[in-house]
Amino acid sequence: MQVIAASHISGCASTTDKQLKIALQQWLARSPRRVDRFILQSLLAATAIQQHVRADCGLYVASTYPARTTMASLLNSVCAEQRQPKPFEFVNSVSNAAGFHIAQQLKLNGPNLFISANAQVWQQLSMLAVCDMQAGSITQALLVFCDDNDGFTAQAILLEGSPAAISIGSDFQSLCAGIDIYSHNFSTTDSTE
Amino acid sequence: MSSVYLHSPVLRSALADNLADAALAVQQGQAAHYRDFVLHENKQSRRYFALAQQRPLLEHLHANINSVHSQHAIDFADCLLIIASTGLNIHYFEALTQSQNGFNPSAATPLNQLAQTLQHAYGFAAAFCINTACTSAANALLYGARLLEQQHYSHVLVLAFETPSEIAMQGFGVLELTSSSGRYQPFHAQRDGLILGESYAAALLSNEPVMQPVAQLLGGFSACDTSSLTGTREDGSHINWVMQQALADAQCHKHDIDLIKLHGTATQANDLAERNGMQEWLQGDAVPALCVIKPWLGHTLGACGLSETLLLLACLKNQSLPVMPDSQHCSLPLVQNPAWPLSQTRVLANFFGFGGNNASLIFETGDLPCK
Repeated sequence: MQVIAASHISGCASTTDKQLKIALQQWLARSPRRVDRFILQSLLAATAIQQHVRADCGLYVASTYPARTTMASLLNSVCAEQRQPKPFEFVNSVSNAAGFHIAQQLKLNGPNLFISANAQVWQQLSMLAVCDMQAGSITQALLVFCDDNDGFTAQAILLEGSPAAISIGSDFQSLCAGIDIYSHNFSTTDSTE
Repeated sequence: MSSVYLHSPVLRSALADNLADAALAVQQGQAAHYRDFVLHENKQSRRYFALAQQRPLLEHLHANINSVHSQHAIDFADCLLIIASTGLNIHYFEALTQSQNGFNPSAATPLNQLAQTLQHAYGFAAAFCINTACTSAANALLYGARLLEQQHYSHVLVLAFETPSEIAMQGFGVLELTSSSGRYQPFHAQRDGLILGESYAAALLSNEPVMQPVAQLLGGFSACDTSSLTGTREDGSHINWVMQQALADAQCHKHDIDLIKLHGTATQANDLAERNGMQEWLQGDAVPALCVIKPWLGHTLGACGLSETLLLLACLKNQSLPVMPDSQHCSLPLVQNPAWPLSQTRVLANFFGFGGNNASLIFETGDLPCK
C-alpha cells in the first residue's frame, strides 16, 4: 500500500470562511451550503486530490478539536439564551458531517469514519484503513486530518495498493516521502483570493 | 472477518444500574426511569430516559472500566481503548455556558482529552474516540474486532456512553424527531418519534474466548449513504446492501440468521427506510424473528451499538426476547412471544446514523468455548 496523492492546506485564524468557500469553488462545481469551517477545511484537503479518487474508497477523518464556532453557537443558543438551535448547526455538530460532505462530493460509497486526533493520528487512521482493505471492502483509502487551533492545518493522503505491503507511517511527512504534495497556504495569499 | 469474543459486559442505563437487572426488567415489563424536559421557545414537554441517580461522567467511566477489570483482569498495556460517543463531555460545557451565561470557542478542549485521561490513568496501549453519530459504538466494535484480527492488540475495550445533553434534546426537538406522546413505539402505526436515553456501557473484545464470553462477533459492515446527511435512502436499498455485506463478511447466509435487532428509532424516515430494507428478508421462506430495544433504553445515540447489543444478549441468555406492547400493529412483524427457545442464536443487529452511516453487525450467542 502506498501514498499516491497528498495535500496540505493551511491558514491563520484570520482566514475567513468566505476565503475557504471561494477556494473550494476551484475544485467543486457546486459547493455544499450551510457548512461550517471544519467541513470547509476538510473538503479543501480532500477535493485537492479528488482526481485520483475512485468510488470504492474508504474515508477516515480525524480532528484535534470539534468545530468550535458551531459548538459555541449551539451552546450559546441552547444553554445561555434558552433558544432552539439552528437545525443545520445541530446537524453539522456531528463530527462525521465533514466525512459525509467529502463522500457526497467525491461520490464515495465506502466506510466513513471519524476519530479524535492524537499524536499517533496518522498511524491510527492508516490502521483503520488497512482493516477495510484487508476485509476487501475498498481498494483505496482517503485519510484526512484537521487541526484548527489559532492557525489551521488540513491534510489529506490517498492510499492504494496491497495492504500486505503496508508501511504505516507515523506522521504526514514520512507517509508522503517522495510524493508531490499539493500545498496551499492562505496566510501567504492575497486576502481577496 | 475472523470472529472475536465479546465479554465482561457492563451496562448502566435508565432501565437499571446493571445489565442483569436491566434484562430482568425487560422480562418483567418494567419501564425505564424518565424525566420530562421542555423544548425551548415552543414550550412543549418531551420525555428523556435518564438514570435514576446522576453521577459525574468520569465516575461512570471509571466504574465501568473497573467493573470490566473485575470480571477479567487483563493487562491494559496490551489493550486498545475505543470511546464511542456523540456528545463526549458536552454536558460539562453546557454547565459552563449556563454558569457563565455564554461560551467562548477558545474554551473548547481537544476531542481526545477524555481518551487521553483514561489512557494515562490505566496504562492503555492506545486510545481514541470514534464518532460516527448513532453508529459510533457499532463501528467501535467492528473496527476493534478488525484491529484484533490484525494482531495490533490483545484486547480492545469499548466504552460507549451518552450523557443527558441539552443540545441533543433541543436539537432532536427542533428537527421534530422527538415523541410528543412519551410512548416509544418503533414501527407502530401511532409512532410519533424517538425518546433519547442516557447510558454507559462497556465490553471487552478478545481473539481468545477468555472468561465466559457473551457472544462471538462474527463480522459486520459499515458504509456511508450520501443521499442525505440526516437519513438513509427511503427505499431501503442502502440498508439492504449493508446487511448483505455484513452477511458476506461474517460468511453467513440470510437463512443462518435467527433474529434481527432493528435500529427502529420510531421516526418516520428511519422506520420507513428500514421497513423497506427488510422487505427482501420478509419475502424469503425463513423469516427471522424481529425485535427492537429502544423502547426500553431510549435512543442512546452513539452508545446504542453497545448498549442495545448487551441488553439483547442478556435477554437471550435468559432465553427471552423484548416484546413491545401492542406490537401487532406495527409495519414489521415484531416478535410477540417473549419466550425464546433457541440456546444458540445468530443475531444481525442494525445501527444507522446521521452522516449517512449505516452499519450491521452479526453475533452468535450460545455455547461458546471458554478458557
